[in-house]
Amino acid sequence: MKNISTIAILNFILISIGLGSCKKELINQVELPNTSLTIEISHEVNGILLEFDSILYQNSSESPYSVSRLEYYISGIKLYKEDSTFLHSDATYYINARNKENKLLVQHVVEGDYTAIEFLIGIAADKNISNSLENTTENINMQWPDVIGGGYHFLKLEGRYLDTAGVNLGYTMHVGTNEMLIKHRKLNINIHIQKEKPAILNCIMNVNEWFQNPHTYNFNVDGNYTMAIPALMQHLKNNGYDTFLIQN
Amino acid sequence: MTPSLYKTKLMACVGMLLLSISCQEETTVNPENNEPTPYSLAIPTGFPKSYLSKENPLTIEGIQLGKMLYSDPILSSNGRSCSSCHLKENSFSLPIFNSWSGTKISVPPHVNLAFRNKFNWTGSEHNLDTLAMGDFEPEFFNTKPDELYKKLSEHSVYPSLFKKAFGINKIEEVPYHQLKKTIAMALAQHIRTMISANSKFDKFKRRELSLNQMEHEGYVIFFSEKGDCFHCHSDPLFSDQEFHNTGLNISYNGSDKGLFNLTQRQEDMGKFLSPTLRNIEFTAPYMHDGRFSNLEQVIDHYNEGVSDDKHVDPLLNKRNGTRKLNLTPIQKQQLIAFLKALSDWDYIK
Ligand code: HEC
Ligand code: HEC
Repeated sequence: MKNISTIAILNFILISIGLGSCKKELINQVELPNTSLTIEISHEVNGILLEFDSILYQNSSESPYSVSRLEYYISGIKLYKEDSTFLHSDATYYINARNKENKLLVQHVVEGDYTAIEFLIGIAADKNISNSLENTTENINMQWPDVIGGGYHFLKLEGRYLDTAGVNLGYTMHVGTNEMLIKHRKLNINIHIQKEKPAILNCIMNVNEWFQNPHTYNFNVDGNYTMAIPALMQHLKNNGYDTFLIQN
Repeated sequence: MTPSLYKTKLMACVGMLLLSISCQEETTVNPENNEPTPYSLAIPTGFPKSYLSKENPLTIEGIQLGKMLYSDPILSSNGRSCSSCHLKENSFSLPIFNSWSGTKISVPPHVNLAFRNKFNWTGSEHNLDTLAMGDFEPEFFNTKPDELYKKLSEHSVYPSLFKKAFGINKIEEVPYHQLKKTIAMALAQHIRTMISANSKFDKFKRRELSLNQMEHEGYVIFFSEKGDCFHCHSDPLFSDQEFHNTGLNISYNGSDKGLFNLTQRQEDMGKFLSPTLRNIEFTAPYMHDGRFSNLEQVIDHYNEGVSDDKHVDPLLNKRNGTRKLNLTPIQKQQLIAFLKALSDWDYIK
């Protein structure tokens, strides 16, 4: 590991193995702590567990909508200690809200107290390259074609809504390309990592946040299709800054 | 004898018969001797992991047996073999099969099935190892068990292949269900080796040649928001292996209900498994019921024929708020030129 001494990176590398993550990472540190953190992700709409395929929800622009697909990547996890030193995970996790559970295993977390977490929704530029992830069916289906820039979709949020006339239409909120990488805001946590004591962090996505804060997204006005429309992806990127919260 | 007592005795007899059959099975299946030769599948670059089965690992002998049986009418009493409905020149498909229940089915091709775990238009089958067991039924092979046992055990090659591949010493001692299962497993092994990855497009990706201008324009349309085909027909299998409603209907009858017929869930109405587009040039007519006789009609459908029904997949809603692609006639031709670049001519030789 190169010595990036100015930044207060702890003196080890954090290797994580998760769904669709790269197991071939170099393990270039002598001692890897045998401790880990499990991040359990769940999906809600304003406090109620997400139920697929039924037009149950209202977003800030009051469009009744449903969700038929919610897939995305989480990567670049940073776990902060009180003194602002942090651990940085190299793993990329594929998440499909339709899975019964989405558990991200962050391995080799050094013992201690952690007070905040940061992460990306999407994949940082150095790995957002076609075929850089293992060719699982999920990763293949998340590919962002080479002819439009290559890499992977960061987010696929799809479903139906009723337009102003009550007509049932589809929407596809897709985010991709490096400029649109979503850096999630820092969330406070209270996690004690200790040997032989599994630590779990519950992380909840509020799907409605994609449609609000700062931009009140309106399917009828903004459009129901974001692919190749940077202005619309930018709204989702900005709204995505605070889609998650921590449940203690 | 009272009827119920008669029934009990009958059941006991059947039970004993089953017991004796299963005992025989153990004496004839002896995998310790003559272990078959393991075969490892060459996976083309970019392809996902194959779904290989632990219960039915690939072996040279198993594949050879499956390959012979695939095109041998020995399995049927009506002259049919698998290759009667899965014709090589059609990429191992058949234009139309008319089922006894009156449904028209465009027979899906056998291409890269090793990488899938859902089969048939509605994904009704999940296990390739047992899929072919259904083919012994009257509608397909109408197999007569006695004849099958006789022909197989008197054959010059099969007995030794069954022995080498599956440790079966005497075919005639294997219970019928077990025999069908073994045959299905051999066929599955053969089908798993049927890999197509040598189309013009594959060669283009391997930088062995370039696409001509028409094909290249079509490639861009396919993989960009212009045509937006890739979300469901994702490279390299050209199927995302998921279910979608492509807006073929405004109301649904019979087999057009698709996945709904299996799940009875409204959200599955009219959904079908995305078919591969590899070798699409060889497999007309198109869609589950073969309603489109050529690729022009398919493209016209996506361009301007997608129905207004509320079950249509969100992915078919386009930027302009409609379900139309607005392709020009030349763009349609370009898209078709690209689809034809997915033909693997070596595969059907
Ligand atoms: C009489 C025609 C017929 C014969 C004979 C036949 N099939 Fe098929 N096959 C079909 C039809 C029709 C389907 C599609 C069924 C559906 O989608 O519901 C099919 C589907 C399949 C599939 C699934 C393909 C996919 O892409 O999902 C496999 C595998 C298959 N057949 C293997 C075989 C084998 C092995 C044999 C020989 C034992 C065989 N078939 C004989 C008509 C036939
Ligand atoms: C929403 C997902 C989706 C999109 C987008 C999509 N397809 Fe399809 N495609 C399917 C499904 C599902 C079927 C099978 C439908 C049926 O039989 O009812 C299919 C069938 C086809 C077939 C016929 C295949 C066969 O074996 O009969 C062709 C050709 C085809 N699509 C080409 C395209 C092209 C070209 C585009 C882009 C313009 C496209 N598709 C976009 C899902 C999709």
